[in-house]
Formats: sequence, structure tokens, C-alpha cells
Amino acid sequence: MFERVILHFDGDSFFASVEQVMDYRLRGRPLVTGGERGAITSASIEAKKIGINRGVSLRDAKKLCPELVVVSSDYVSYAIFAERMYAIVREFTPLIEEYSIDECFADITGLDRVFKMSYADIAIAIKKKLETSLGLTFGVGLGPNKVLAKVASKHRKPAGFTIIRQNTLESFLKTLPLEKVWGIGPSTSTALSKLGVFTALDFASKNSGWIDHNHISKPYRETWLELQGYFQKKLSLKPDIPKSIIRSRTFSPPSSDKEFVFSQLSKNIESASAKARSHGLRAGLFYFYLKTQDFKYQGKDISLMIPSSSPNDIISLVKKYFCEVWRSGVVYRASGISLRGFISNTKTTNDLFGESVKTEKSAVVFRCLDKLSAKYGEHTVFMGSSLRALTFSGVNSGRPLDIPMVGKVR
Amino acid sequence: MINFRELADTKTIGEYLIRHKESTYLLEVDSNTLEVNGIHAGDMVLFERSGDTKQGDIVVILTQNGYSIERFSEVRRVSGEKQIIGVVTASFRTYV
Repeated sequence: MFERVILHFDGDSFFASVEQVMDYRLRGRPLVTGGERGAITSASIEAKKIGINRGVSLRDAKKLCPELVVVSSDYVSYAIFAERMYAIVREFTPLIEEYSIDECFADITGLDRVFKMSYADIAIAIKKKLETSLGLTFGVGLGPNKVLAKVASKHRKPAGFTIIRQNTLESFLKTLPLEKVWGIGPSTSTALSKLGVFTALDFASKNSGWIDHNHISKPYRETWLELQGYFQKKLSLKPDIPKSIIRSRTFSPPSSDKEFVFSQLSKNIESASAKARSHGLRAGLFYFYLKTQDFKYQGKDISLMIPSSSPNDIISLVKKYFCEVWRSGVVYRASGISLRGFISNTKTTNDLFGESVKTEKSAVVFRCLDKLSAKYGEHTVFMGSSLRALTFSGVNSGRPLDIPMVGKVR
Repeated sequence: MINFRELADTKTIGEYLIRHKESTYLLEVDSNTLEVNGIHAGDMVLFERSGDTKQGDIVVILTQNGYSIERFSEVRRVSGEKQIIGVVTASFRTYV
């Protein structure tokens, strides 16, 4: 066996599968998510069988399958299922990399002695626990490093489990096109194909002289070594930078009052940006959404010219685009914000027109507010636009779906 | 600042009701449902998705028509279309 034993877990059709767990009527049906942005973000296993995937346009997908179910993305639920996935894998080992919302790596080196089980049996035990607890299937790969574990998990889909050993390595790489290898993009694979390298095995078989001669840069050199079975790419155990910060609240009774719904959103923006500040981060992108009474999401993706963690910067942009999302007469039950594209406070650069000076000034203001919040509680001092949400006498249910509500007993 | 929760001998409602958060889900009992083992119409039910069921458990069954709960007995092992997906771990209701 290898020096290191790395597992890769990949939720099959993750977003679509979560939707099928949250609503049993969707089980077994061809379904895609991403309805709110008009592009497929995930296709269910049933939809994939008829050739529908993320590369297909919604229009073509409907032509291919007229009974296709299209739903809006419910990122709050996806995030909860992702947290559960990480927590379950963490029950077996603390050495886990939360790679993305539907994937993670785990290092189980040496655990065969701890659990008195073979590595394969440990992988199967984690897979089984994930699948029964979450109600959806996982592709699992076992290999000597991240690159090969990922090759393995992709090998048989859905619900597959594949082991790559030194003596079977070649057979996996022989037919694997280079662009399917994790970390090798289309431009790199095109460049390498010009050098006569087409498959993963072609690349892995090159000697170090060839690698030097062709000026293969460090990350690709690591990939080249990993394809041969060496461990190079370390697991990043605790993400220093969260992928996204989401704040969402349901309000009861629901409302069709524009100013009130905006104030709810404003309050969420204040909480999310406070969270970003506590990490020392500024967001470059965000997505805001409203959820209607019949559980439909409407939202908009916006990018910030200057990354910021000051709520006033984000609120003023939301104000500008709110009308595109808001529909009068529609009753809304929740609002939410998701901040993404983070950069660290220390990495900001100045722009030409002094916009960043303004951002810097408000950053100082909000650092003071954070100190007040720490002393007197959250929302001690708040933006005027959040006032109505903060004086709201109805019920604001926090952390919606912490325990997912999946239906009714009949 | 003093964290009163750490000082007092308290337990959150969540801690009381939920054993394994990672596999726990909520169901609401429909208003037309008959009483099953003390679980009434309108109650909230917490269940754990699990493959292990034993005699006497109240199990959650998922069919084409939705969720139902019943007392599990080895004799009437559920088969075919009916699928046991978990075990009821708690139920609760509010009166106001």
C-alpha cells in the first residue's frame, strides 16, 4: 500500500439530490436546479441519464425532456447538507479538507490500526454513514494523493467506490484524457497535446528531464508527481477563507410591503458583512434573493467594483437592483444574502479614482461598530434601512432549516 | 463578559430533543392523521435517518404517497414499495 491514504467524497448530483430529499415528490424524476438564473447548476441522476447536464441550456433540456422539473436553487439547504457531510466525515478523522459545497478530501493514513479495519472498509463505512444520514449517494475514491483520489471518485458514477493502487494505476490513467485530471484546464491540456501528451498516462510517464525542458510550472509538476503515486498536494485542513457567507431570515407573517422586505434584507446584509469583517475579509461578489410565499426564489448576482465588508456599500447596490427582483402584489416570506469572492483585508489595492479611499473610511466606521456590538450585543447601532426589520413585532425565525423540514406525515 | 449558560445547569431544547444532528430531520403530522403511539395530528416529529431498526421502534416510512409512521415489528417487515428511512427520536407540540 501507499505511504498516504487519501479519500475523496463527491455528492452525486448534489444540489438536485438535496432537492429530492427536501421534497419526496421529486424523487425519481428528472430535475434540474438553477431556474432562478436560467442556467442549469445541477442535474439529477435521472436527468443525467437522458443527457442533461450543466453544459446544456435550459431550453434544450426542456426539448430533450418535456416533463423536466426546473427548480430554483435553495443555497441554504445545500449549505446545511454540506455542513452535515463534513461533520460526518470528521467523526472518522479530523484531517479533512472542505474542498467545496459537494466535495471533501480526508486523510485516513494509519486509521486501519485504530479502527482495526482495512482502508477500503473504512471508506465504505464513511460512505454508508453519509448515504443513510443524508439520503443521497456519494462517489468515493481512494488513492495515495488528492489527484488520484479524485480520479477514483469520478471513475464510476453514481454511488461508486473505486480504489487506485500502484499496480492498477496505469490502467486508470491509460484512457483518461488529460483535461479530466483535477487542476489541468483546457488551455494547459491543449498546450500539452501539442507536445504529444494526450492522456494522463502520457503525462505521468514523462521523465524529469522532459518536465524541465518544457518549463512545466510547479503546480503541474506536483500533478505530474501525484499521477505517478507520490503525495504532493497537502490537504488544507481549515479553510482560511470561507467560500461564502450566507445570512437569511424568514419573517412571519409574510409581507408584500416593499420597504419592510427591503429592511429585512438590509438587516441580513448587516449580519453577513459583520461576519466577513470578523474574518478580516472583503467580498467581491454577492447574491441577494427574496423567497416568495410559495417557496420560489428570485435574486440577482452583483459584483462590487471595490471589494468591501461595509454594509452601506452592499446596501446601496442592492437598492439599485432591488426593483429588478421585486414584484408588487407578490407575498414574500424570506430574504437572504450570500457574500462570495473574498479577499483578505491586507490584500486590497488602491484604485485610480479614489473609490477605495471611501471604502477605507467606512471600513473604519464599521470597525468601531463591531466594538460596540461586542460590548452591547449585535445590532446595537444599525443602518437606518434595517430599522423596520429590527422593530418588527412578528416572528423572525433564525437559522432556517437548521434541522431540515422534509414534509408531512399522513 | 460572563457566559451565564456555562454557569447555570441548563440544557438547550435542541440538546434535549436531538441526539445526532447530522442525521436528524423534521416532519409535521398532518391534521387528518390518526394517532400513532401517542403522536397526534399537528405534532412535530424528529427522526434520524438510519439503517438500523429494531423491534418497538417507531419508524418513518416513505412511499410514493409520502411519509407515514408506524411501530416496527420484525414480523411485518416492510417490503417492496414501502421503504423504512429512519426512526422517530422525539415529538413535540405547542398549545398556543
